[in-house]
Amino acid sequence: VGPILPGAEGALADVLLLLFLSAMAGAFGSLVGLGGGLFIVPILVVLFDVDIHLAVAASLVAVLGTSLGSASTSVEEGLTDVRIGMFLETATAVGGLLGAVIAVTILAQQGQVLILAFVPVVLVAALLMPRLHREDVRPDPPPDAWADRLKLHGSYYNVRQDREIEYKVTGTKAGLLLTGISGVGSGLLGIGGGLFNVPAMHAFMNVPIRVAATTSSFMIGVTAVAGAVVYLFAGDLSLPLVAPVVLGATVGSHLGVLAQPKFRAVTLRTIFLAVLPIAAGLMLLRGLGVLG
Amino acid sequence: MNAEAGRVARREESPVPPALRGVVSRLLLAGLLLAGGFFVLGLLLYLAQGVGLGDPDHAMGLSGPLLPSLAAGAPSAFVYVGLVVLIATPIARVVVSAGLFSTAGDRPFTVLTLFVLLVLVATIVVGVLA
Repeated sequence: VGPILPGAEGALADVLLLLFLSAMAGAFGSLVGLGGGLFIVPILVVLFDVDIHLAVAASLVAVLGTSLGSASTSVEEGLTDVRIGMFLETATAVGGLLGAVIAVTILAQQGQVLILAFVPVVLVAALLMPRLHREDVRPDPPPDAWADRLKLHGSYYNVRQDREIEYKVTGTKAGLLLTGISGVGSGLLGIGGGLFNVPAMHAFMNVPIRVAATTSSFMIGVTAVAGAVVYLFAGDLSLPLVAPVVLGATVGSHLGVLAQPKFRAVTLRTIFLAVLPIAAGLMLLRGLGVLG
Repeated sequence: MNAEAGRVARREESPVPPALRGVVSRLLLAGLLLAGGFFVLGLLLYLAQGVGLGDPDHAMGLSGPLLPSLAAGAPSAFVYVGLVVLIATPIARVVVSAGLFSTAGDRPFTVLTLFVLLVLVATIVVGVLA
C-alpha cells in the first residue's frame, strides 16, 4: 500500500475533483462503449498519486457499478443475450479471480510492472476500436456443437432497420478463451474487459455488435466481483477513494448513455483515439519513473 | 415467413425463463440504488468530517464493529455497507438465475450458473480464510 494524497486541508477539493473526473471517465466510457475503467486507473495513478493496487481495486468497483446500471436497463429491453453472457461468465469469473490474485501476490510489490502492463492494453484498445463498428452477422458460420447443445443462437430487434436480426453463434471455445483472458486483464488492471469481450463475441462468435456490447456490460459485473473481492480481502480497497469513484463513474456512465444519440459515432471514436495514447503515454512515463 | 413467426421460432430455439429478464433487471437496479444510497451518505459524512481521499485512519476498512459504527455516523461504515451490497448484487443475480433455469428444467444452464456461483463463493471463502 503506497502513498495517497495527503488528507485534511484539500479534502473537499480533492473529493470533488475526483468525483468530477470519475464522472467524465464514466460518461466517456459509456459513450464509446468500453466502460470507464480504462481511464479511471490513469486518473488515479497519474493525477492523484494513488498506489496502482488501490487504483485498480477502486476502478473495479466503479466498473461493477456501471455494469449494474447499464445491465439493469439492457436486460429488460432484451438487447442483452443472457444465455451467451452466462455461458462466457464461467470463463471471465475465473479470469477475473486469477488476475486479481496475481496482482496481490506475485505483483504485490511490483506496482511499476502493473503500471507498464497498462500501456500495451490501452494501445490494443486503440487498434481494436475501428473494428467495432461493423454491424454484419455472417448468415452461415461454421457449426459449433456447444452453441447447438447450449442453445446459444439468438436474435434481437434492430430498431434502425425495424426488423429482427437472427444470429447463429459459432466459435464458443475461442470465445471462452478470449473472454477468460479479458477477465484476467480486468482483475489485473481494473478495466471492465469490454475491450476484449466485444471483439471476441463479435468477430469470433458471430454475435451482432450491439448485442455483444450490452452482453459484455452484463458479464462485467460478475467479472469485477471476482476481482474486487480479492482486493477487498487483500486490504487494497480504500473506502474514502472508492466512494467518489463509484458514484462519479456510475452517474457519469448513465449520463453518457442518455447523451449518446447527440454525438456522432465518428466524432466519439476520434476523441477516444486521441485520448487513449495520452493515457498510455502518461502511464508509460509514470511506470518508468520519469513522472511523479 | 413473416417477422412474427421468426420471433416465435427464436423463443423456442433459445429459451430464457420468462420471469428472468424482469427479475434480474429489477434486482440489479435495486442493488445499485441501495448501494448508491450508502455511498452518498458515506461520501457526505467524509466531507462533513473533513476526511481526505488518502486519510490512513479511514482507508482500509472499519475501525470497529459495523452496527455501532453506523450508529455513530462513521463514514467508512456506510461506504463499507455500500460496497458489500454492490458486490452481493451480481452474486444474487447468479443465484436467482440458477434457480430460474433449474425451475425451467434447463439442466446445462443450471450447471453453468452454479459453476459461476461456485467460483464467486470460493473467492470469498478463500479471502476470509487467508
